[in-house]
Amino acid sequence: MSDISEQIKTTFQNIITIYEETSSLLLDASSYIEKQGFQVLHGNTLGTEQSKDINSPKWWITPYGARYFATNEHPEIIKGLAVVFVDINQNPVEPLVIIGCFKMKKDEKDEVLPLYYYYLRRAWFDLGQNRKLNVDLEIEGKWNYNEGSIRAVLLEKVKDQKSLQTEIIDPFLRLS
Amino acid sequence: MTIAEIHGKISQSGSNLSDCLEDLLTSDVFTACKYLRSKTLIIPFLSKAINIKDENLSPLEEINVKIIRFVFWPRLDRSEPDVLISIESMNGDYLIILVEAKYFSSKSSTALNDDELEIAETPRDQIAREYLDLTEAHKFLNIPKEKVKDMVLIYLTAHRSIPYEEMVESYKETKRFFKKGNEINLYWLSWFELLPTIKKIIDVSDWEEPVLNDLKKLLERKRLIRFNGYRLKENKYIPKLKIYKNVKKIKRKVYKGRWDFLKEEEYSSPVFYLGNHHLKEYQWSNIQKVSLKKIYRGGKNE
Repeated sequence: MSDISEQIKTTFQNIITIYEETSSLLLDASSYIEKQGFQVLHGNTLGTEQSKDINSPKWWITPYGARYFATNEHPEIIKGLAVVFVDINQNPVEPLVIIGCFKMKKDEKDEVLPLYYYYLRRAWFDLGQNRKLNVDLEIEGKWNYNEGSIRAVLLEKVKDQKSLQTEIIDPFLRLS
Repeated sequence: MTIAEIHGKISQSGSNLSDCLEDLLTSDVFTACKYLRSKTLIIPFLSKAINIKDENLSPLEEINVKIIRFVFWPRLDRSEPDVLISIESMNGDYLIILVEAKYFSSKSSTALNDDELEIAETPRDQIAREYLDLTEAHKFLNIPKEKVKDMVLIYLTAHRSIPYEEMVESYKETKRFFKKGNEINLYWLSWFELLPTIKKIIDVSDWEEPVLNDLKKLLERKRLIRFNGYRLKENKYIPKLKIYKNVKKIKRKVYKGRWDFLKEEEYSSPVFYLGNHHLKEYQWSNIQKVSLKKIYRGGKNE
């Protein structure tokens, strides 16, 4: 096999591995979160954005994978976690796990307005210079939420079930 | 030995692939359990099962096992569960365990709703039907009824946490038709518990090790593993001269490198860099060490 073929093959093998492990991470996290009474809002669907536009190859990849949850008691409080590989311009960054809590707006019928998959990634990068890892950060109301909080950790810190619990699940459950 | 094939569970035409995969997985795992000592795998694995009250089946580990017997896909009156296990203890008592295993599919027949439940004469829910069969499984296994100390049904699935609603509806329907006043021993177990169970085994005989290693590989291949970090392959490439302006002589050969991501706040394409130990093989014209960071930035200073 030529060098370029070998490189492309290995790169794609690695991409598949990254997505497989991300799937495991999100599903394991979901199982812990569901034990605490939360329900995932989008079933088996991965929360992400993607494009099949021939002119936007950067958008062909899965830039992040998110899961959003709420409880029956407080459907207006939506919590989410996302594994993020690229920023909002689709440029690769140090991979992050972002967790967040959004206090959603309601319409005149007292129904919770929809939350979109991009909220976590956009909310994090919109913080600009105020971004700080491993700290709960307040976020101002935007789109369909009144206020919220967000926290990010480097994905490399999540190495196994124990670190998944301490770095992601515990802060996720604390976040308000 | 492929027990699934002995029982004709593998279709020649490959039809009904989903069921075949389920039967193959059941066959592979429980065959391994059958061939290993009971204390090595089957008992520790099944003892991880939990019920809807989150109580686990840990008392299983206290049984002093004399003989353990596996019957695959027994044809009972109302159902054909995946595995029927009888455990005879040293004091002559028996524990009968019925395992209904799922991989991609869910229960073959769903529970009755509350209205239907009031008038129904027989259960419809697969687990409830199997539970009723379990109460009479001693006949199938030729065990005197008085010797049966306990019976347990384990619903084994690929869920990562208990499928609570499915379990509750099966429990309700079983309770409606099971009138003997005894406690209903309905438990759930995840395939994802198998690998951690294998990893925790301390007393492994030499002859058991290859079986357990193959089982680990099978679980990894089927992705029945919990998250345990990212492990990527190293990429290989031939570096281009134009990247390294300081190089006079270069021996072209395959070098190992790896992909990495830029710092979170950098907006740039991903770059590729060499591992430190490979740099020594270059003949740098100015004979000075070039830091990894320089190469990381394409030779520029930070």
